[in-house]
Amino acid sequence: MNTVRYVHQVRVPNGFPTADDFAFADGPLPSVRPGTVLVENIYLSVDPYMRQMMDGGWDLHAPLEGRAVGRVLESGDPAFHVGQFVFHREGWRTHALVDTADPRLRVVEAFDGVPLSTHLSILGGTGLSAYVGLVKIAGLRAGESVFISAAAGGVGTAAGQLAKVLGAGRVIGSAGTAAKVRHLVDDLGFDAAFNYKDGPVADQLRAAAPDGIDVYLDNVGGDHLEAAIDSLVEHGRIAWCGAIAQYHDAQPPPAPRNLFEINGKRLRMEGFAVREHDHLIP
Amino acid sequence: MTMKTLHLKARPAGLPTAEHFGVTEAEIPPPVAGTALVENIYLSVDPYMRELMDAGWEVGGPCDSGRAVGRVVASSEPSWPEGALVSHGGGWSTHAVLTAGQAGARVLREHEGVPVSAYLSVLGGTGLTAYVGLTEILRLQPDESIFISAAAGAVGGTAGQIARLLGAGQVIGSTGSAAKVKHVVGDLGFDHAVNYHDGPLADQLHAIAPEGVHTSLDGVGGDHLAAAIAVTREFGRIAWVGAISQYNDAANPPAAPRNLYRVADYSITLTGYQVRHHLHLRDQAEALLVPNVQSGRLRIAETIVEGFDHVVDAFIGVLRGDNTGKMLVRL
Repeated sequence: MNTVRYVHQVRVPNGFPTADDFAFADGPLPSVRPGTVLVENIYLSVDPYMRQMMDGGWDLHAPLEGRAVGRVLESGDPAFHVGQFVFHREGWRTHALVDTADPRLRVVEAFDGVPLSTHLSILGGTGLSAYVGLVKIAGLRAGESVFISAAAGGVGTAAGQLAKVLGAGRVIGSAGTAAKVRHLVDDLGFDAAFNYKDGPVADQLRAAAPDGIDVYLDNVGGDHLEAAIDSLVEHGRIAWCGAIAQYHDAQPPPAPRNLFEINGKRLRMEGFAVREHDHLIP
Repeated sequence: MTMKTLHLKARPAGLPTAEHFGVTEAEIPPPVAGTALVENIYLSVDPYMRELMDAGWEVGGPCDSGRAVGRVVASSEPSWPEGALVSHGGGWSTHAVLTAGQAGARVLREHEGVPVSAYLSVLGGTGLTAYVGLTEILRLQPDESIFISAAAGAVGGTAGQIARLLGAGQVIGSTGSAAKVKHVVGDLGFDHAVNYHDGPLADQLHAIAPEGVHTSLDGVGGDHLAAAIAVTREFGRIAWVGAISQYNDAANPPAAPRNLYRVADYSITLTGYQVRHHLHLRDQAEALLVPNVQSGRLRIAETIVEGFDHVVDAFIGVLRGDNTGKMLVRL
């Protein structure tokens, strides 16, 4: 127990990443210095945006960035004590020495009946993304219909349920397998869901939302975005959070051909961040 | 006395020509109770009319939507008094007949020192489009920078000047010739302008504004929207007012910008709008614009073509970018 195991990225992938793009590296357990805490990680978050980090955002052969929740093993700062659960960004490793000046380090509460992992899901960045996207960016109002792409993913599952809590009308999701589609409708309360591999997204969305949609929460871009623009009613809003479809391709796909409908239907498309941007700004 | 009206003969594929239009000449209808006869003075020719040729104007029917300004020459309708200067949407005709409460028509308040043509340009839909884009859609704040495409065009040239009146920081425009670049900077007071024929637009803009701009106003679409997306900084806003680049081939729109994902990555807002949904802001806009027109601080940029027989030439010209500022036909 006095070593740390890290995941390093060892090469930049071309297209879909493989295990060979990564390697384990072991190192000694660091000792706590004043102004640091040693954390034993319990949950690590793995997120689609990391695919984009692999294209140059992460240094090769070095510890990686990522959200994590763990327990303080040793503390060199009176503000943190041993046994506390903390959230931080030194992911992809079994133990982390975290600088307590890092503003992203914070103590997380262990709520009764709420699993610790939720600090990385519904109570973490994904839940917050869903909330920000629906409430702050899209301004979802009661009775409005919502389409959510990548609906079986972290943000999507949170958003679909949250939309219902917020009083949305029809909530429609897309996912990539029949099992996920069933999960959305049977377990998560989506009104309708479809498998985007079953046919053109635009046709399936039109069938699922014959009266159109008011809000689109986009995680995907590409043909989903085009379909949403097609189905959005006047003054519809697009909250665009990342673009999974593009992470694997150096060349982004052609953007929607119907983009000018943004003018015709007076749509508002607003991007928002599920992560800090400082890694991405050139 | 007769009146002339243009009608649509055929729907074009691509750039329209004179062959797509015909002129009808008819007796002016005798006065009917509750109507007023307007003799048009200026007709507006605008890029969006290319869209009307595909859907909006009927083949064989008159080109009967389009802004015009004229004077009431005979009236039995008190809301349209004889002698009044009126703006209406009756289209490409020498005369128009107005009825009480006619949609899209209004008596103009004539301001001293403001030429009649201004009611179709800086004080008409053009100026209002620019004003709405900057205030209502972009909510431009003092010291914020802006990129404006089609900067020598009617909306673009007015928008750059209004941005200045609103206290904008750097105002950058793009246009299609060296002469227009000179006009945009020299006459309209933009800080910088680039000729998009001189090299990739985004590269030219990055050279001028290495840190990007806070806001963009695009009326072109295609590569110009892509450049706006490329140069708008994090949390920036883009107002999309039109897409002249694709009006001639609406069935085959250009591949939309490949950098569209930047909207998501940089938390940019892209909003489409049309001025007709913001007409309630007209008084507010006039309060800003009229004194600045009167003082000469706001330049009225217009290209005026003489004579009803040249309406179609003027229209094709505006689609080709022959104009600087608002393209009008004086009858």
